[in-house]
Amino acid sequence: MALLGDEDTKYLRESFAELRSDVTLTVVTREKSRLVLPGADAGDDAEDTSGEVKQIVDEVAAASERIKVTHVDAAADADRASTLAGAHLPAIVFGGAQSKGTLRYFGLPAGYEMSTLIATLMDLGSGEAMVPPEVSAELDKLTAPVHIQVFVTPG
Amino acid sequence: MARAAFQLAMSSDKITSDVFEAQEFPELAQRYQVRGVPMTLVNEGAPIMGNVGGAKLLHAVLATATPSSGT
Repeated sequence: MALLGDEDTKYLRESFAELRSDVTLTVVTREKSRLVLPGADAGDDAEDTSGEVKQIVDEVAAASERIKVTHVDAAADADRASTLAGAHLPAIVFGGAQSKGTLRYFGLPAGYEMSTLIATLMDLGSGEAMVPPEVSAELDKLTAPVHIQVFVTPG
Repeated sequence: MARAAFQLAMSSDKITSDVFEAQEFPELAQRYQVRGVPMTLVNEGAPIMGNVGGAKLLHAVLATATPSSGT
């Protein structure tokens, strides 16, 4: 069953028509083993949103040819998954022609955070600088890595 | 705050912005003592609570580049 309704998809198509450059989304998840161990608690995976993350990203990306999606399975390609997402899954890694740093969303972008996902796609594909030149000049003076962590809830 | 963090990361190759859905990563939420959201950390420094806007986040980022601010 689709996570996005017809109205959602229509809205996304209209919004994404303004994308000026390609945007990439790399979805890093871990495919569940089909092997069920005796005594394993099926409830262990109750919080795993990997399937929904993959589905929502695919449905959003289907609304524009500018959005390119790659799926990486940590069970099959652990090194690449680790390089992209570190120790946490599921992850969505954003990319764009003009994007310089690293942008990652961990977990399911539901509720209010769905709008963050859409807004970030629009920012990445806008072809415009996100900060004014004087701020860009200040940021260019950074010599050491800066790690910003934002904790959110679906809300 | 998530969008502001992403916009800064788009603007500098030195910046990594990670947004976590706190309920899905309880061990991280516990480690950083997340009491409310949004909560933002810059290089694991003092938490910035709430939607304070991009300007304050930028200030916190630029402050990391000022060695004299720490001891």
